[in-house]
Order: sequence, then structure tokens, then C-alpha cells
Amino acid sequence: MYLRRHTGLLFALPALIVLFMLIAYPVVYTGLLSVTDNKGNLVGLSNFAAVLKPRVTTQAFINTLWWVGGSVVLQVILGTATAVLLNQNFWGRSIVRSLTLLPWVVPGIVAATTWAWMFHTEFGIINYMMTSTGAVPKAVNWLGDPNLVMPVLIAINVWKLFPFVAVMVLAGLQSIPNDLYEAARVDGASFWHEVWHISLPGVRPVLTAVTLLLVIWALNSITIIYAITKGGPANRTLITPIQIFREAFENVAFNRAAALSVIFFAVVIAIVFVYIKVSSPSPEAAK
Amino acid sequence: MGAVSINNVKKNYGNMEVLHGVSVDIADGEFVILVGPSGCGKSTLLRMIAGLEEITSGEISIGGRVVNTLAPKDRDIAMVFQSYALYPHMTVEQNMGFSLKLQRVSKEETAKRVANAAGILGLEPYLKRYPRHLSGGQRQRVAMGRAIVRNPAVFLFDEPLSNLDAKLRVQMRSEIKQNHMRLKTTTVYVTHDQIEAMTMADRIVVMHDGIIEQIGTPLELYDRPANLFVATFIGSPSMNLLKGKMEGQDFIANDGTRLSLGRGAGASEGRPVTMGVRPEHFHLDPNGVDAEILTVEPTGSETQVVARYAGAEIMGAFRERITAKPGEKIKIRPESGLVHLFDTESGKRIAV
Amino acid sequence: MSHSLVRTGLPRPLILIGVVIVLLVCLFPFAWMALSSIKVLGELYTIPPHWWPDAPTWSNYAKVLFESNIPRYFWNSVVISVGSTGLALVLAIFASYGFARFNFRGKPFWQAFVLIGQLLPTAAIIVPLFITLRVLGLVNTYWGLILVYMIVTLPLSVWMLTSYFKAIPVELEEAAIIDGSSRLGVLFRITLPLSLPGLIAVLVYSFVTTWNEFIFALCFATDSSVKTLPIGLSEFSTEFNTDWGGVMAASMVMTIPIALLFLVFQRLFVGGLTAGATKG
Repeated sequence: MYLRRHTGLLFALPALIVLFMLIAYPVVYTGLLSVTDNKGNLVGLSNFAAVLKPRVTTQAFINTLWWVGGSVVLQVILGTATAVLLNQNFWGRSIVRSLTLLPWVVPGIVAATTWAWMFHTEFGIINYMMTSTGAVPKAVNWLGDPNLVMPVLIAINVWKLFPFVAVMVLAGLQSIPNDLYEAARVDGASFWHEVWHISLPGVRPVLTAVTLLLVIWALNSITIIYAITKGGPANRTLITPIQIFREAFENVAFNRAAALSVIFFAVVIAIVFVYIKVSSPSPEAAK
Repeated sequence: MGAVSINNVKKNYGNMEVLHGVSVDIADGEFVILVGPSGCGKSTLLRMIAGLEEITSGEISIGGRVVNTLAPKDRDIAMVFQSYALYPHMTVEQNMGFSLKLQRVSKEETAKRVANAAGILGLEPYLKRYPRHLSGGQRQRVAMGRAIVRNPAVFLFDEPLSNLDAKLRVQMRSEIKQNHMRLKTTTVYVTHDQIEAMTMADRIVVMHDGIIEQIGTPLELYDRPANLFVATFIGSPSMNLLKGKMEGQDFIANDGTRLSLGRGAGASEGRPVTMGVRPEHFHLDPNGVDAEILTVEPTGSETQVVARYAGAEIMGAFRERITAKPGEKIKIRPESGLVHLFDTESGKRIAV
Repeated sequence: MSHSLVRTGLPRPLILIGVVIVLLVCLFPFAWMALSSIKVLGELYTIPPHWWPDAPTWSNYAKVLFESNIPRYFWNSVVISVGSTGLALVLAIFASYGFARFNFRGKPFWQAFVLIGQLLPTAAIIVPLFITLRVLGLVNTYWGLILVYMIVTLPLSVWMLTSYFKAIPVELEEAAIIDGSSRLGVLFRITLPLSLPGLIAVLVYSFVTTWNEFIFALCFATDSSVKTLPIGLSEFSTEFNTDWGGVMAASMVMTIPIALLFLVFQRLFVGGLTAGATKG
């Protein structure tokens, strides 16, 4: 269209300035904080050394991997399965679809407290259901047992986000032309053949994009863990974002928190970069 | 009032020049059609007249006023788009009155002018409807109505009929033509369909690869194409081309077939020439040259024959009903006074 | 409308079982939340737990609404969510229009920049944001959170709206320009009315996200005059020595507006969200 050269930039400018202030500036500032002490003197890499030395950092990192890996894999699998189910024709499908999304819409803190109540050792409904049906012999301390607490938190996180995967994949499934299914049917394909050879390849681009988003969200998700265990017991559910948060706001060690942020940031960027490279041809970002 | 003058206009996108300096003068009240294959620059030129594309160099004036730097709304033009571009959230009435509303024309005046345009186009029953409730032809009329309401110096049409089915296209063609006769507004009309161009235009501008190949009335282009491009682009089925050279008054095809034309090629004697023959200019003649029939397509009023003739595949259209089967031979000759000769290398018409 | 004679797909009973399981998994916690919120203390702490309350009570709600800070936090949440949603929408409308309709130098870079905003690990920028806000005197103010929430809402709003604007035929805007509209006139008279579903989707998304946000609120709003509901809820447990009836009632208060908003607009919302995913 016939326009002066900078009109578009003028339109975008206010938003860009706000985002620049809120993103680019803090990122640079984090870098600066990570190599200075609390009086602003340059201290080289000593902050990094200080945060990398304690064993808890390594543990938090491993916990983060479990947390992200476990959450994302289960979210994708359950979400896709739900999408295939909701893609069937049945009465009331659109209502079911909306209701399914509710866990995703409600505040994370609500999900956390409600599940914490349900997992309550003495009065929780889950222990009641499991003991009364004989699934477990006696009440389980879900949130206090170091070996159980992480899987339980992952389960809650999966509950919160698999509906999002389901809706995105469902949209992808519904955009696959019906002709393809009919052609497969004429060729003698069964339902499972259709799922495997038509549906799943058809939603691959959606899955790729959604998975990336899930990874980012899992890396960012502090709410559920923080609200239920604050990283405990015995740091069993301490993930790096929570460690950063603790360093900064509980130990008031901003510089060490910044050093940890820089490391975390670098790892996240690396993961995203590798993911985009591996999953290419990825959907063009600009489109 | 509405004369349009385009003077050595060029258009660049980045480093790529897509219009290489075109000049056309359009008289007030004239109906001019820009025609050419897709990518020839005809739409770009139209959009430059409208003010939707910047003019890289050269000059466009409307009604004697240079408009290069004027905004579209100050150019006294109206445009009909290929997709009609009717505002989906406005009724027919609001669509047609939108430009007047922006000019702050009074409500009564707007209503009057909309009613007038609706009357011309037979749209009165639909004024309160939304575009999605209209048929293709009705939408097309609303798009024209929106242009008529403004009473501009120039109408611009960008392939306005290409979204319609064949039958409706023929009908709208004549409606547009009739409206032009009634309103006598200068019109610049872009199409890739040479039949549309032939049937509607006062003058046709044939464009190709960013240059103007020829400007002329429909029959001038048909009877005296300036070059091979125009020769093959105008006319359907298109002109047959035979490659060869001239020897005196005879054309020698590349396979050696000798055809007597009764005229020479002047300076092009001995040079490679291309002979162009329109399908209807072949005649059955016992003294003609053998043509081996490939297919026969009777259409009732005439018979179209594809045949191998003088080393090339040609199509002839005959008034006679031909019963010969594929593989058989008939004798035909071109109407010597009506053949066209072109210089093969430059593609230019060789004047007699 | 093509219904083939042979119905392939899962057998009916399997679909039914599957749907029931999915619904149970998704909705049971809400049911339990609602039931717990109307039980008296004694009934919450019984072994085995009662499914249905013997003596349904509103006392938990009364406590939440009249004896706690929750109403105040509710109001704070409304102010902050409405403020940041509105601000994000205005900024996103202009930015998306710029991205969708113009070419300018560095456009791909700026679009990638906006996108990266969406991918940024929040934990990594909390510290400098906190220091910046403190310098600007915006810690513990409405404006502080409203601004910070732009990080969460603006990138996706810009992305969603850009794809909506792009889907509107350019010819419509050109027609309006020929009809005499200015650039802003085109945006407000043509583009925006035609993007109404997209605008609503963006509004709902931004509102829900800011309403639910926890971490930024936890760090930047430590005074009860600006604390939002999620913070209030997390405090509630300690404030009343984990009065689960109260917590569940507060959860209901927090969930109901968002669930209603979502269910009313869910068709537009889901459409807006998935539009980008299926086009690529």
C-alpha cells in the first residue's frame, strides 16, 4: 500500500517501548547484576561460583528437568488422546469441550489449594477413596513423602494444562479435510489406522508449537509448587525458578539470584533454540 | 474534465522495475481497458492512478492536474475492486453512502444520491441488506453503486467480473457498458480477459512485462496487431503462427512448403519471418496445400479443425461442415490478403 | 455435510466411558471445592469424609466476605486486571495494525522481539524488574502491576490481533481509503469492527491471565492495599491456620467470575486462540 516509510513503526512504537522497558532492559540489567556485588562493584564471576557450588543448585536443576519433562510428556499424550476422543461425534460435544477447558482457565493458585486439600493426608478425599477401595492399605502422606511429592505435583500440573493441549490439537484435527478420511476409508483403513496415518501427521505442526509453549510454561511455572510445598520437603520439589525467587526475596541476595537467572536464561534459550532447529520445518514465527 | 494522462510512468519494487516507462493519454469520457497476462503491470498501473501505489517516476494527471502526490481521496476517482470490497458490517445503503459520509455531505443529499445510483443499478429492494445476503451479481452492482454515488471524474475497475460465473459475466459486461454510455464518465478498466477487452473498450492498451505493446481500438488490434505478442494475445482461438522466410511474393515455411501470398516482405526479404493466420482465414481450396487432420470439433455454426500444416500444428475455423476423420487430409489455403507477417527476431509487424 | 454410510470411529460405549472419565477428572476438584466450601469445620475434619454436607452452611462465605481482606483483594484484582487488559488492548491494536499492514525496516526483528517476550522465563527477570520498580517508586502500586502485566499479556495480544488483522482483506481498507478515509479512520471504522471476535478473544485472554497471575503479584505487591486475590488466597491458609472451609470458599469467590467470563465467551475465545495454530 502507498505509504510513508515509517508509518508502520509509529503504530508499533508504543507497544515496543513498553516491552523494551519491561524485557530488554531487565535482561541487560540482570547481566549487570550478576557480575557485581550489592554495592555495584565488579566482582567477575564470583557470584556464579557462589551459586554453582552448593549441592542444592544441582539438585534444583535435576528437579527442574524432571518437572518439565514429566509434565510436558504427560500433557501432550493425555491432551492428544482427549482431542481424539472429543473429535468423535457425540451429543453435547461442544459443552464437554468447554467444560474440559475449565482446569486451564482457573487460577493456578486455586488449582494448587484445591488439590492440596484433596491430597490432605488425614482428611483428603483422595486418601479416603483409595483406602476405602483397598487401593492402598493406609493413608498416604502424598505431599510429605519425598518420593511421592514430585509425581503428585506433576500430576496436578498435568491436570491444569492437558485441556489446553486437547483444545489446540482438536482444532488441528478439525482442520484436516474430511476427504482424507474418506479416501483412507475407501482404502480400507480402520479407526486406529486413521488416527495413526492421518490425524497425527495432520496435527504435527500444532503439536510442535504447543510442545514448545508447554516447555516454556513448565519452566516458568512457580505457582503450583510454591503454593503447595514451597520447594520442600528437603528441597525435593525445589526447581530453579523457585530457587531464584528464594535467593532474591528470602535471602535478599539479588546478585546471586541474578547470576542464577543468567545461567537459567542461557539454558532456556539453548533448549528453545535446539528445539526449533530439531523440529524444523517449524511454523514460521512471523506468520 | 476527466481526461487521464500517464506520462513515462515507472514503478520499482526495491531494485526490481516492474513498469518500464508507460505513457497513455485517455480522453474525457473514454472507456479504456488495460489488458495483458497476469504480472504484466496492468493492475499496478491502475493502482498508481488510484493512489494506492507510489509512482516511482513519471507523471499521472487527472483532469489536467498532476496527482502524483495527492491522496486517493483528493484525486476525484472511484474504484471497483475485484473482490468488490464491500464493507461486511454495513448495509448496501451505508456502503454506498460511506464516502459521502466521510465528506460530511448532508444526510438528505446522501440519501438522494444513493437512491439515484440504486435506481440506475436496480438496487432499490436491497438497500437495507448486508452484503452477505446478496448474490454475486448484486454485490457487483453495489460496488459500482458505491463508485457512481461519488460522481467522480474517473472510474477505475480492477478485474471486476472475474469472480462471476460465465453467464453473469456476459450480462454484467453489457450493464457496465450501458452505464458508461449513460454516465459518460472516463473509465479505466483492467482485465486479463481479452474478450472483455474486445467487447467493452473504446480503446485497448495491451501490456506485457511492464511495457505497453500496443494501444488501439479493438478492431485495430485484431486487424493490425503491431507485434507477435498482440497478435497471439488478441483473438480466440488465437492466431496460428508459421515460421519461415519470404522469397519474392511467396512464403517458404521451414519444412519447405511454399505458399503464395501475392505480396512481398520489403526489407525483410530473406530474413526469418513469421506468418500469422487467424483460424477463420483458412479456406478449403482444391489448389491448396495438404493439411493432415488431427481433431475435428464441430460447434454447429462452424467447424474447428486442428491439423498439421506446413510443418506446424494449426487450427482452422471453417463455415463448411467438414466430415473428414482424423488422419485424413484436406486441402486448405490462407486468405492471402489477410495474413500477417512479423519479423521473427524482433517480433515486429512487417508493414506492407 | 458428508456423512458416509459406514461410521468409523470409536465404538459408542467407549466414547461414553472416555467422556465420563475426562469430565470427572476435569470437574471433580471443582465439585469438591464447592462442597467443601459449604461444610462446617467439624464436617471437614471427619474420618471418613462426608460426601454431602449434613448441614450446608454459608458461614465460610460470610467469613471470607466480611471478616477477611478478600473483598479488598477482589477489588484490587479487578482494578489491576481491567487496567492492564485495557492498556494491553490499546497498545496491541496499534502495534498489530502496524505489523499486519505496513512494511518497515526491522519489522521481522521487532516481531521476533515481541514473540520472545512470550518465551522469556519470568523467573529470570523478576529481580531486575523489582529493582526497577523500586527505583520508579512503583512497588506496591496499582500501576506497578498493571505495567508489569504487559509482559504477560501484550505479546500474545499482539500476536493474536496481527493474525486477525491480516485475515481482513486489504481491498476493504483500500476501498475505504479511496472513499476518503484516513489511516486511523480505516482502523477504527473498518478494521476494528470487523475484528470484533478477535478483540473479545484478546480481552478475555488478557483478563484471565492477569486475574490468575501469582508470581509477579507475590513479588511486587506486598502491601495489603494492592495485593491481588491469588496472594490473598495463599495467605488465607496461614491467616486462619489453614481453615479449609474458608480457603475453599475464597477459591469459589475467585473462580466463579473467571469461569463465567470464560463460559460466556468460550466460542470466541477458543476460536481466537486456535486460529493461529491451525493456519500455520
